[in-house]
Amino acid sequence: MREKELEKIKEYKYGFSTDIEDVKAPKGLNKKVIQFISKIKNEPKWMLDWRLKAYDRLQKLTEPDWQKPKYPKINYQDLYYYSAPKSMKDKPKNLEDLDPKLLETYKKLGIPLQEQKKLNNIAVDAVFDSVSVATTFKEKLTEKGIIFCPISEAIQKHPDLVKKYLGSVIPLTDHYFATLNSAVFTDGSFVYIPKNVRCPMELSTYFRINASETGQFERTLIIADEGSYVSYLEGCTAPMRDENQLHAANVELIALDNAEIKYSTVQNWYPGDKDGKGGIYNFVTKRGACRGKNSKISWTQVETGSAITWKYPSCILQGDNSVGEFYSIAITNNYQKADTGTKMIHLGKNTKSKIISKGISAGFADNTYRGLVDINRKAENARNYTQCDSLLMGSKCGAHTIPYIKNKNSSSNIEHEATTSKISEEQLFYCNQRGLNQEEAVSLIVNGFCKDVLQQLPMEFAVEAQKLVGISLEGSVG
Amino acid sequence: MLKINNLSAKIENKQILNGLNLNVKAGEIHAIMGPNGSGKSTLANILSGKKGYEISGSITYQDKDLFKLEIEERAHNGLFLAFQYPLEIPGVNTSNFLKTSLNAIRKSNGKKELDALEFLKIIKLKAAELKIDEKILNRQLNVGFSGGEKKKNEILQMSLYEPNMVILDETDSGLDIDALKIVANGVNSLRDKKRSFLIITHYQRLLDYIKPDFVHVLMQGKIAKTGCSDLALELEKAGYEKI
Amino acid sequence: MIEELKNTFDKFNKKISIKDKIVHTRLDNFNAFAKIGFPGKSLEDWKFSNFNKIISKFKNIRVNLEEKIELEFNNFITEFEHNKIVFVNGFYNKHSFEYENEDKIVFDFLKNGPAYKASGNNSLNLLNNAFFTDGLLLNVKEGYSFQKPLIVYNVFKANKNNNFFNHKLIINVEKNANLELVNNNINLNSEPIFLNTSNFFHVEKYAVLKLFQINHLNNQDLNYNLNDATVLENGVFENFILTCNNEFFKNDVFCFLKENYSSGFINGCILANNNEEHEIKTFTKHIGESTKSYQKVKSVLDKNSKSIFQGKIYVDSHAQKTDGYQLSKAIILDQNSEFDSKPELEIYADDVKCSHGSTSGNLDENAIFYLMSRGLSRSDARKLLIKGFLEDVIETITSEKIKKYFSKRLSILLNEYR
Repeated sequence: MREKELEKIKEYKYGFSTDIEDVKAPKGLNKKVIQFISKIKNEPKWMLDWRLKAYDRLQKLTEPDWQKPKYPKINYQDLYYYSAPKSMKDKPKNLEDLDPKLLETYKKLGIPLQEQKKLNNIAVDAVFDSVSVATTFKEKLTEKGIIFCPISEAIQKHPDLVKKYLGSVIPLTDHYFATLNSAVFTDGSFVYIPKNVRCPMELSTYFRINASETGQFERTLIIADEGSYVSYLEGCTAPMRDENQLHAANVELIALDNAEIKYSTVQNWYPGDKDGKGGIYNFVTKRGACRGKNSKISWTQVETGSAITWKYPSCILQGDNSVGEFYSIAITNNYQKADTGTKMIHLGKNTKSKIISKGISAGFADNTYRGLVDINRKAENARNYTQCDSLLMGSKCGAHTIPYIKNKNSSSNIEHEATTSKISEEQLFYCNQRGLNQEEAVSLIVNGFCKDVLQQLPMEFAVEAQKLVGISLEGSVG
Repeated sequence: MLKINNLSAKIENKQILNGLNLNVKAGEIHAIMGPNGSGKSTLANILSGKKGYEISGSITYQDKDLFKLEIEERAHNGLFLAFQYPLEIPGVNTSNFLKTSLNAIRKSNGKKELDALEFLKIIKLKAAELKIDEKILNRQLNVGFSGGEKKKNEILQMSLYEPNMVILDETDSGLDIDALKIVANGVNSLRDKKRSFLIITHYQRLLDYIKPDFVHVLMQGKIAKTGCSDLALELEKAGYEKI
Repeated sequence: MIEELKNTFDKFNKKISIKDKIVHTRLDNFNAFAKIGFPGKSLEDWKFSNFNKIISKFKNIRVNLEEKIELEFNNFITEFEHNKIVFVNGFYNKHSFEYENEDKIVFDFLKNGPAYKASGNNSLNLLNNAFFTDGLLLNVKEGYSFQKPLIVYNVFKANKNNNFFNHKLIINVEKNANLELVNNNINLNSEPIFLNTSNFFHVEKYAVLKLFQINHLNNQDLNYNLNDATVLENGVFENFILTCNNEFFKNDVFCFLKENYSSGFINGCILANNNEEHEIKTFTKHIGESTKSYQKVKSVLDKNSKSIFQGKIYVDSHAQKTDGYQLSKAIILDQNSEFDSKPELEIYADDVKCSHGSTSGNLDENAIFYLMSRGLSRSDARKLLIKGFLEDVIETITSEKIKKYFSKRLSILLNEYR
């Protein structure tokens, strides 16, 4: 036994030099890599054990294959699980090195120069303006007792909260990608809102800058204690240059009695080029538990990027009178594929859920809404309303609606509606006649089509999202 | 302003217009009347650039070849069509639509784009002038509008864009007398020496309120008769058969 | 169970089908079935039911080895005049085309061919190909319209050694021809049966086939029914079913709208009770342009029962101007019943009009209150509302006599229902 352990330590020393600043974990997925990640983050033993448990479980799982978009087999042994795959010297040195098309997009989105640099991992020596900004915010939050920090920091400073809630919504044993994340997650956000506190500002990954690079396995945990409220924005609002890279993030939300969490995402990862080469595989697990009575979780997502988007932000409505909402826009163009939707699991009495999904498909793209509404036997007076609308642009793309509805309660009420349509020639003609060119007209009509979802977004996000909608569809109408 | 020369149009091998000639000078109001199927709406569609027709002949608009202008370029150049059946566009706020399109036109003419506040001031004024309830501005574009509300919205747009050449495609059909007055009022208030109108209508009714300079009768794809405003009354009494 | 079936199949092969022209393909089909077994929950098409569990309750699966069964058969359905073909325990008994010009009708038995290749992954269909008895092949000649409906009576006198029946129909309706077909399954004994049916329909240009399914079975019977219809230019396929009294019933309808302007209408009422599980699954494939399909399925559920609607509309990229509509609604009357639904759209053409809707819930208390305030008892008020709810689907039937029949039958069933 002792000999074996010694053997391990030897290997460890051999595999990873002491100069931590310089190394990244070698390619591949194994216990040593996980130990390395845990070590480098100076994690307590319980955290490492937890990761290893996930790793063991992973060995018994296989990748799901029921989804519509198929992708080439990922070689998990060929990935880096710590440190970004691109070293600093591979990164573009300045904006001139970037694809001019990207810069064009930034300009259209109105992203300031400093932000642009940041989003492309350009090494900027100057101190960000926002660092000081972030500090001021941090002070304001600390005053109210709100914890908002990288999850690696929370593991050190708030182990009780992390131990209690991490994996309580997405268990270690969930599914392949979620379990993979549990084993190897590098960083992410942690939010705790104390009892009866209304978070005074929108929290966003934008503000939590200079936390270490989160990489492809992000882990987010948000806890809203009794009577609290928080709105969280996840902004991947600029394209990242990555080639067919896997993003398997996990996001867990917990809302206790009378608490409310609003989680908004605008996702615009690199979708691959117009021939479908490259782009991100966005396989994210997002799940919220309305644990307390009268609690509410609301997901809003605008998904315009990624080569493949495959995610179902879900709500487990445990508390009586709890409410789950899902508002989604998924736009796919060229060869992009999306299989997205939600699960609303009604367990408590008088629980309510609402699903509004808008899918837009252009070029050669495929867009699937897949959702589950499950009303449990005990969920008396549960209510669900679902509306899924698809818009097709051109006849080379596809739009699919696959709702699963399971109702085991006679006092419940479920309504589901879905439509598929196209932008009519007449609508375009009308707009053209009023002086709008083809692209302006399409953008206007599609934004109108998405209105019910866009209006759920916080103001500053909504403007950006509206522009994104237009940009994503450029060139899709001849 | 607008010169149509020997215009013929076919759709799916059906001849609709057959050698139509028309000359509209600046400041004139022309009315085109004709029975159903005589090609009235086709003429309006072709003028505003709708695709799908097989066309021969020529149209010059402000000394430009109209066929060389895209639909939106025609709008930018001040050609406005009030649709017979204005489209419903779900989710698009009417006020937002008006602002976006007005700014597109202004931009193309090298004018400064209006911000939300400036725009609101103008549109409220216009709505009040035309006695149109400004509540429609906050509704989705034409969605759930009554026939009258849709037509009023078209007139509101007309007065907002201040076009040079206005084509009204059966704007009067299906309107009650009050809505009809609003339409007529909108046209009359815009009437000046530089602006021309082409009023396409089936009935003489609208012409009680808007006095045209010329009345043309369109039959079998061409102008069968041209006269002054009395011709409309004559047609109302005698019908089209006599022509 | 598969082992048991294998033994049964060997006996069946020796005794019954030895004289068939297609005996070898039966074996191929059986082997293909044995390879995949009964459909499991992991199959998307069987996601909501646990057929393996249901079939495992069905002890001692036995097929008929006696061909001749004497039976004096009187018309089961007397409400409207009709032609008939009678099968008893899966074997031909008699027929009468008394209202028709028999020159215009060709009929034969499927055991004389054509042979079925063991293809596809529908294991119950493979099982049917292995075990079906006489089977009916019917061709309605060009331009001929049946004067009266044709009822295919499937009568079963089951016993312990004879409880598994495989029935098969192949119907071809030629150009401009017209047929109203009623398939009526009747179990005369109280012995539970497993009825496994595979039907294939071919509707040629401008032809119309209306298919109505009526079951007089018992509430321990298992019933799987496959309808596979191909519709050519301007053809119409219409399918209506009223389900009741089966422990398990699945109507699995595949409608292939192959050519322009063809249409398919698949409607149904599900009345489930006492631990029953009823499903209507439709898959409509729009290939031709300007094709049209409607599905309307309504369920009423009580006493620990379950109903399932799985409907899929597939629109090919060539199928422009498709008009597709799906509606599934359910009323759940007790705390232990369940309604599962999956109305699915898969669309690759942009100029289409497709939509679906699904609702489920209890009876509207306000409506009950209103009716009671007009003097109805609570139970009558409920019955009236349920009848109205289902009657809406019966309204879709385009043949007046048959519509009347179903409406009457629904009233009778509802009287027994609670």
